[in-house]
Amino acid sequence: MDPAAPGPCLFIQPHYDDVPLSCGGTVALHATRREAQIVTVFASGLVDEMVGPFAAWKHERWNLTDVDAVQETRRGEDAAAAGVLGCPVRWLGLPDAIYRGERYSSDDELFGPLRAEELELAEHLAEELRGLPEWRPGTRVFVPLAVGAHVDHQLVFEAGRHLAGSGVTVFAYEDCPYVIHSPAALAVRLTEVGAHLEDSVVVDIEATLPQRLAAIACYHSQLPVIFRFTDDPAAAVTRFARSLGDDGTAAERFWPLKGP
Amino acid sequence: MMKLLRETRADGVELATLSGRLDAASAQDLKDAVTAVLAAGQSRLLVDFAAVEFLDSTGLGVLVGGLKAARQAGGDLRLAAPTPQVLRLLRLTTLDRVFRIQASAGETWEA
Repeated sequence: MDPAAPGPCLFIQPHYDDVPLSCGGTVALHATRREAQIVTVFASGLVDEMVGPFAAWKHERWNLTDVDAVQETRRGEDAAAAGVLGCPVRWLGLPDAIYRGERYSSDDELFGPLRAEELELAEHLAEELRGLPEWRPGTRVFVPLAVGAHVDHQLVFEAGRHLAGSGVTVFAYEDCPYVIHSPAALAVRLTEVGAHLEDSVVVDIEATLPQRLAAIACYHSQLPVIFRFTDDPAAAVTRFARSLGDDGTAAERFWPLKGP
Repeated sequence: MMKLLRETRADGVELATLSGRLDAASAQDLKDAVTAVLAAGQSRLLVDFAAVEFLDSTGLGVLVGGLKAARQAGGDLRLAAPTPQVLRLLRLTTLDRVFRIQASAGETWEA
């Protein structure tokens, strides 16, 4: 299975920025044929009751006072990044994990096991993706592998498993920059879900690496947080991409999900 | 495919009766209707889900946005007669705690 083969593709990102960060080069390759669409899953608006104690604590830590303004900024950055990659982006309306009641009430829980009731939400998401206006016969789907174990990433991965189980071709991308700053997390995740994966495949993105880097740079509000482990994000991403390809060629790596 | 019928109840509540799928392909119609109602100075909105076959998260997002706008205008957006699939998504997202849900579209609007 070749993730770069022609055909319609949906690149599913849990949050604004995950796809450009993780596999923007492959998106740009498909976008030259107008076959790529990014879908951001957890892009809901907020009302007061959705902000419980943990979410309120998070908001305080982030100095977040105007939720609507932040959403506008994040969507603007997401649209700009998609534009750089040459494809459209669609925002769905599921609430982030911290706004789904008291299911996750600490950072440990946010990066811990997925709650049992969330598996049903993953099943719903799979059904929803198949009903999107952009869905075509033969559409291939890209989901996060969930390196780093954020529950929203795990939920989207589970939706990918549902789709793969119904015969859809699904690839898991490795979550950057988690995999860059915490490479051991990849081995942990592969141990957890390896039984559902085929052997990894790489896509040569030498030609589109500059687009991926430019797309990542669109997330002005997030860069200092996402890349707090380095003062040169572009170099960190480039170095990692070149570690994946043959002879230092920039590449992105994917794991096909096993089918039915 | 979704159908949307609007009427004003005798008590002044704006009722939107939906049928079919409220999803990414149709959610804009509901968003436009909510915007028009609020622009006309009405802020009590009731959305009847009795004939809705499927709700997705884009539709849910429009409902959350509508609720927020209705509250800012001093009113509310409530849901009536949600089908099992609609209730399931509300429960899975915990938004069943956010919306006031009525058994039917004819029920009295309680303050």
